[in-house]
Parts: sequence; structure tokens; C-alpha cells
Amino acid sequence: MKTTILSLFLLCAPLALASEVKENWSIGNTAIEFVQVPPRGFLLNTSCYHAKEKCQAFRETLKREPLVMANDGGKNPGSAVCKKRGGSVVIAMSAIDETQGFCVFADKSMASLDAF
Amino acid sequence: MLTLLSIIAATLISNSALAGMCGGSRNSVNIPPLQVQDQDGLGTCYANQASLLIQNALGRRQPVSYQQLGMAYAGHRAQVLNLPNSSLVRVRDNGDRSFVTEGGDGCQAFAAAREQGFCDSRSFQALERSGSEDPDRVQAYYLMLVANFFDSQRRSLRGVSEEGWANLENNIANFLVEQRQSCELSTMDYMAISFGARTSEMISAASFIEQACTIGYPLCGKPVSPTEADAIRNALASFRSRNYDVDRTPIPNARNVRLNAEAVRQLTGRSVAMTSNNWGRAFSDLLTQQVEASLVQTLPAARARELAQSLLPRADITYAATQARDSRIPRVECTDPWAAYATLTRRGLNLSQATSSTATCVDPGVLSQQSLGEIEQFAARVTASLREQQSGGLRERLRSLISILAPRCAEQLDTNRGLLNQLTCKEIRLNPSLGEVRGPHVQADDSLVARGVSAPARRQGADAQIERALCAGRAVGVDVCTAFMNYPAPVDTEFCSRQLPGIAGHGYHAMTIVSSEVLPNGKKRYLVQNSWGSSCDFPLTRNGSGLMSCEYNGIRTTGRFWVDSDLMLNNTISLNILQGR
Repeated sequence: MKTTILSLFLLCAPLALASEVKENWSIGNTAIEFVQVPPRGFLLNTSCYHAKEKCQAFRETLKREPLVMANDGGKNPGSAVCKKRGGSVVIAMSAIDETQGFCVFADKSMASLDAF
Repeated sequence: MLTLLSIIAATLISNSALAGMCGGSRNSVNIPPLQVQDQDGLGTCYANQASLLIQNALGRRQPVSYQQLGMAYAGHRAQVLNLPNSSLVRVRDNGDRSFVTEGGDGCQAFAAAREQGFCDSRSFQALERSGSEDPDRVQAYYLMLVANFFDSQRRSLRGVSEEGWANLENNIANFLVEQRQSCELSTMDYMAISFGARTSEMISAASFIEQACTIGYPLCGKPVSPTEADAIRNALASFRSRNYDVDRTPIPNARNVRLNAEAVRQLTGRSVAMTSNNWGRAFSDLLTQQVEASLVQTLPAARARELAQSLLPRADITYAATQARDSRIPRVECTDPWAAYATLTRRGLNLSQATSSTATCVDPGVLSQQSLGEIEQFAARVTASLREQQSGGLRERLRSLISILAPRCAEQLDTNRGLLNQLTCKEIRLNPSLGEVRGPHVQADDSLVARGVSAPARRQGADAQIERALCAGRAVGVDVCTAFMNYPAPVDTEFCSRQLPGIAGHGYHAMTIVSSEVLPNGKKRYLVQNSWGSSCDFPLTRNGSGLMSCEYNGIRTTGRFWVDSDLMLNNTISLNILQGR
């Protein structure tokens, strides 16, 4: 029985790991690994993703708000929500110079702005 | 009749779509991928759009700086509208600040780039590159700093002309020295240093006054003589022995007296207007700010005069001391970056800040050395740039701003400007009620808002323009009301101006169409690239399902979403297409 369970675990573990889609974004000179959170696909830093409710960013992403535009110029609504919840925005870059805003919370956990 | 025409037009659209795209049998058309951008809390969507259109039209791999486009737009628009002295900052009715770079028009941003050049975003380290924390705050900080600095210098130097400009650099240097000292030293040390007498080793009173009168404060007059310098040293020593300190306790009482007097004076005959509580509150707040600001200005001035009179009975030295007072940084501003900024520009002070302040900068770390260093470097660049742009309008000032914020960007402007010479921007309006002044390099197309064009025909015409552009490999800028992005039904009509239930909180936004596809059911959809990072699904209706999709052939797109063509065009204000080359 134990052998069967162990075999199943060994069989499934790589699949579970493989299902995690990861992305690397750089903030300044620091590369940070993020995980796409299904089904919506927003990003959480990997340690937060695994810490679940213990992580502030994870908890904040459970509260989603309707789209509210602020003034002129199509500001990213996620930016306003981030600040409203006590976070601060930092812009990260991909290897091909794409930009992505992340909300950084007090415990240093991070979620992409589209999480809100 | 109108209905019949609409049906015919709709049929034509479907038939046209089914007939294949780009004159062939294709059912989709795509342009090469464009950079995904995240504008954060900056109101630069139109500049993001222009950035993508330029990147696409020139076939560039390097992203184009939307920050720089936004600032170029501001200067360009001021020129088109003949507003040479426009401020970089405006204050909304609700008191919020906004900047000339917030909100705009994609074609005009292009036109600005064609006239002023553009930059690669890699050359714009400070604002839109990796690691910028709270870019909107950073932008706000810098723009406010620059705007008010320009304004204050222009005001203060209005009557001084060449002499004042020539001494500006030293003026700033003195100013910054005081800033730093204010956060590093105790009140007494700071005060002493401000007036030149902390220790003889550091700075002598004579040299300070001499500096103030000959270099830092050009209005003061001639240098002091050696005899006068000795007298100044003695007077300062005497002053220091009196244990002079900043005491703000008179401010609250003085404020109340002044407030009452001002209220009586200003409200005489206006009691009717006060029936509105909101107005009354707004007035009261405004009045309070005015009085507080004047008090903050007045009381230190009195002390400055006291100090000056204790030194020498010389009118010009009184003036120097007054100016020195102006350079002094109140302590509360060390507790908040915005307040620090307010102090740097000597604006926005109010009594709540003043009265809550302590006499010392208790925590030098709050306004960090790094920040001060950045400000110093920044101001040094402002100084250098100002010297070259003494008589320029907003456009020139913005050009200066580019050179200050992004020197490498400034180097690219002229080179890149030449690349756009063969392009024009075609602006196709879909909403007749929203006009925009069109300057050079913008070709206006109002045919779709001509009298008699029905909504279906308008959509058909717009779709034809979009398809033509995409088939030619050109992305299409689309200016919309965002209501359709989470409203459960097609919004149509008056866009953001209509107050439909559940539609509040929407505004105008610029995005870019990068692909088009005809589905098996004959419906057409567009792939729209936004500038909100990777986001492509939005908080939809509280109970609704997706109006848009991130998926394409089973793959999640990044920063782009699919939307029904009719739904989008119903909510579209205008299209922007680059032509030529």
C-alpha cells in the first residue's frame, strides 16, 4: 500500500510541478520568480504563491473589485487598488523590455496589478 | 427606413467579413508583436498608444518611451493651442493635481514626436524603467518640482533679467546646502549655519553675507567691506548667545485672528452664497490655507528682519536675511516626501503642517540622503538647462525637462525625429461631440460623423479602415470609453457621458488594435493591446461572464484581449492610424 502511494506521489509530483507556469521579472538588477495563478493568470511571487493565506498578496488577490477608471489618461486601475490596500507599485521588466506593474505589500509579497 | 438601412449595412459587414480579409481568403490578420507596457498610475494611455504605433510603423524592436511622448505632447499641444505659458501642473476643481501629461490624443502625441523627436525607453531610466517605485508618484514629484521651480524662478527673477539668470546656479547651490543642513543639524546649528556663524572653521559670517549679497542674492547690493565683515561676526556671535530659536506658538492665535478678519472682509454681502454647505466648507478651507500660508511666510520674515537688524542696520542685508528665510526648510516637511516637495517649492504649506512641526528635523533619515542627493543632481541639471532656455515657452521648458530627466534621451531626439518625417497620423472621428484641436502632421477624417451616417454605417466604415490598416501591417489606435469593458450589454451612444446604472467610474482610454479575426459564425473580433501590463481579463460585471477573452487558439495572450468588433466600435471615439513610409 505504502509503495503504491509513494509511486502515485512520485508520478504525480512532477505533473503538479509542471502545471505551475513561472515567469521571471526583473526589478532593478534583481530577478524575481513569479507563478501564474490559474485560472485568471495573474502573477504572485513564488514564495507567496506557496504560502497561500499566510501571504498578504495572496489574501489581497482574493478580494477583487469592479473596474474603476481614475480621471484622464487611462491609468491602470490596479495601481489605484494596490495603493488603496496599502501596497506600493513597482515596475518590473522582462528580458524583452516589456513592463509589468506589481503591487508590493508590507511583508514584501508581490502580485501583478491585474490581480485586483 | 433607418432600421432597414441598418440591416443592409450590417449584412454588408457580415458579407464583407465572410468574403475574406485583405482581399483574399484569410480570416485573420495580425501584425508583429508590440511591447507590452504598464502605465501604472500615469495618465499616459494616449502616449502608450502613440508609442506602439510608432514602434509598429518604423518596425522598431526598441520600445519607444511613452513618458517622453507624454511630455512632448504637452509642449506640442500648448503650441497648437497657442498656450506658450501653460503650466506643467493644473489643479482640478476637487483640489487634486494633474499634469500636462495626463490624458491626451494619440495623433497629437505622434505629431509631437515628429516635431520634437522621441526616445527609446531604455534611455528613460528614472520613470518607466525597471525598479521605478510608484512611477506615478515619481513623475508627479519631478513634474511638480520642475514646474514650480520654473515658475518660482521666473517670478522671482522677472525684474532681474540677465543678472538674475547669471546667478541662478549659485542661488540653487545655496538653497540646496540649506536643505541638507536643515535635516542634518539641530535647530541651533542649522540656524547658525544658515546665518553663517556655526564655527569659524566651517563658514564665516562675513563670507556668508558676502556670498548672499554678491552671488546668492543678487538684489542685495555690493559686497561688504572687511570692517563690516568684522562687525557682522560680532553681531552674529551676539545673536547666537541670545539662544535664538524657532518658536511657532504664536501661529494658532494669529491664525484665528486673521481668519476672523478675513472672513468678515471677504464674506460681506456674500451670505447668500454661503447657503451651500459644500461651498462654505470649500471657502473656509481655502481661506484657511490662504491665511496659513501668509502667516508661515510672515512670521519667519519677522524673525529674519530681527536677525538682520541685530547684525547691521543695512537695508540690503535685511533683504538678504529675508531671502535666507525663504530658503529655510520647515521641519515638518521632513516627515513626508510630498511635504518636502512643498517646502522645496515653498508652496502648499498650510498651518496644520506648520503648527504640528517641531523646531528640528528630528529624523534625517526620513528625507534620505539619497533623496537629497537626487534633488541636488536634479537641480544642478535644471540650472544648467535653465541657462540655455531663459526665454523659452512651455515647449522649450519641456525640452529642457527631457534633457534633465533623461540626458541620453535628449541625445536621441533629433536622430529619431527624422525617422518620422514621412509619416502622418490619420485621425478618424466616430463621435461628433468630442472634438480635438488638430495640429500639423494630423490628417482629420470626419466622414464617419457626417450628417446622415447611421451607427451601423459608422461601424462598417470604421471596420473597413481598421482592416485596411491591419492588412497594410499597421496597428490602429483606438480611443474608447471603457464602459464596454465590464458592462453586461453593448453600451453604444454617448459613451462615457451617459450615466447608466452600473456604469459609473469609467473614463476615456486609448488602446491599440493589433489583430482582427472573423469567427466561424461570421462575427468579427479585434485583438486589442492595452497598457496595463499583462492584464487581459478585467473585473467584469459582478455577476457577468467574460465579454472579452485572453485566449487565442488555446494560448493565453499577454496584455491583449479579444473583443467583439461591434461592441468596441460602439464605444469608440476615434481611430488613429499612421500613414506613409
